Amino acid sequence: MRAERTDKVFLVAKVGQTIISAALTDAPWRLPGDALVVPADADGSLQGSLARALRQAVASNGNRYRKPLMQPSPVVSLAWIAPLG
Amino acid sequence: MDRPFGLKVSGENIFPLDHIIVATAFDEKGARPEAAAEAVVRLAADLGIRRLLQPLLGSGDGGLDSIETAVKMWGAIKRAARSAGLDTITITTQSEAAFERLCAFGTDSIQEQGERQSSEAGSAETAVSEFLDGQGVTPDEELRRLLLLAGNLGPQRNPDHGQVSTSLMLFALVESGWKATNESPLDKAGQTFVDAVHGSARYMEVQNTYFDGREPKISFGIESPPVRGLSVNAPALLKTACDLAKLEHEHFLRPGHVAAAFPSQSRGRALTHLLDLGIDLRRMKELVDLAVQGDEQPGGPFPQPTGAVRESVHASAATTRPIARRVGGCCYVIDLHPTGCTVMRGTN
Repeated sequence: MRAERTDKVFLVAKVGQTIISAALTDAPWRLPGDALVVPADADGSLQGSLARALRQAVASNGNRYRKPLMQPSPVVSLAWIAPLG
Repeated sequence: MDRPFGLKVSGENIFPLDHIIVATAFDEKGARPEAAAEAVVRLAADLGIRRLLQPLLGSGDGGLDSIETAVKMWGAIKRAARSAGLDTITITTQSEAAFERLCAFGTDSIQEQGERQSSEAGSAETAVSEFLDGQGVTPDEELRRLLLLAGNLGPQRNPDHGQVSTSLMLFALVESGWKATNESPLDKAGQTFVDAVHGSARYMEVQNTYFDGREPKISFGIESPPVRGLSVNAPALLKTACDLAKLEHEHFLRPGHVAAAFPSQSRGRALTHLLDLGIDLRRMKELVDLAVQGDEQPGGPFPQPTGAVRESVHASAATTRPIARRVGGCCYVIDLHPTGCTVMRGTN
């Protein structure tokens, strides 16, 4: 899924073989990537703004992706992460 | 929770992500987003992740200053990235100020890279391309060819050579036989510069001195021996060339940009060559400046176009652009925000 127009991405540097970029976005999951870091509180709860936004984005995509809460960890679907917060 | 952990994403997903990594900037020692960021990069490497999306940690609801967090995380991510070997790390933020600060590291890293004595060896083309990546530009085919030549010239000057220098780029420009093939004023200014160097009565003498009396063999083969990186002065030259390319809104860096960058260099061995050759650097710099301004000078190397608007001031860009179009196309309009006035210089 490509980043939307409102996202700004700037290539900052290449360190070794790694390209490090900066992105101005409120929805980083739209950017090209294999893994997304979700910031948690000190106790591990997902109540931060990004976690909330991600839950909302997942929820707005309907129930067809939802999977049972009892799915064994650590394998999860993105829809399943919604109730974690 | 003091260590990040990864969750593998399975099944049909809304977003194309393989993993979610949960991390916090806070531990028993307080807020340490830099430690968390470093741990995340290492974890990502362990999980075999190639492209990591890393938001600022703790600067949202956590209440940390976003710029300070960005600076701390940048240092940590850069350190960890060297050994982690991921393909891309994208640091994301919702803060415009933090984003701007992160972008500014692109400029800071130039000096770092110039002073770095890298032990990694690659081709001259690779060394330059890596630097240009950080500038957001790419060498065009002609410049790549020229860099191959520069890489081949290095060992002829010194078999133990290890860096792409301003001198090698200067001699490669001249010896490659490069000619400006487009209508870019910058390329024309660059061509004037190269012609002046090649046409100098002292060119052969200066070249012989640099190559210790040996006539350099001109080869564009891909057998270029490995180099360690850029010389101390090469980044400044390339940075100037990149800035010129950006003024043209050009993503590709051409030999013309590099040639046009030489007259404004204030240090480096190439500068010594140019002074020895008797090149009028001040005049050359003026030509480049004129090319940048899109201006024309009677009697100069660029013909005066018909219907040129020398300079005019208008109330706004909305009024300037139609005027420029009527006289043959607008070079550019400068917005003098916040007054709303605009200045238009030159048309072509």
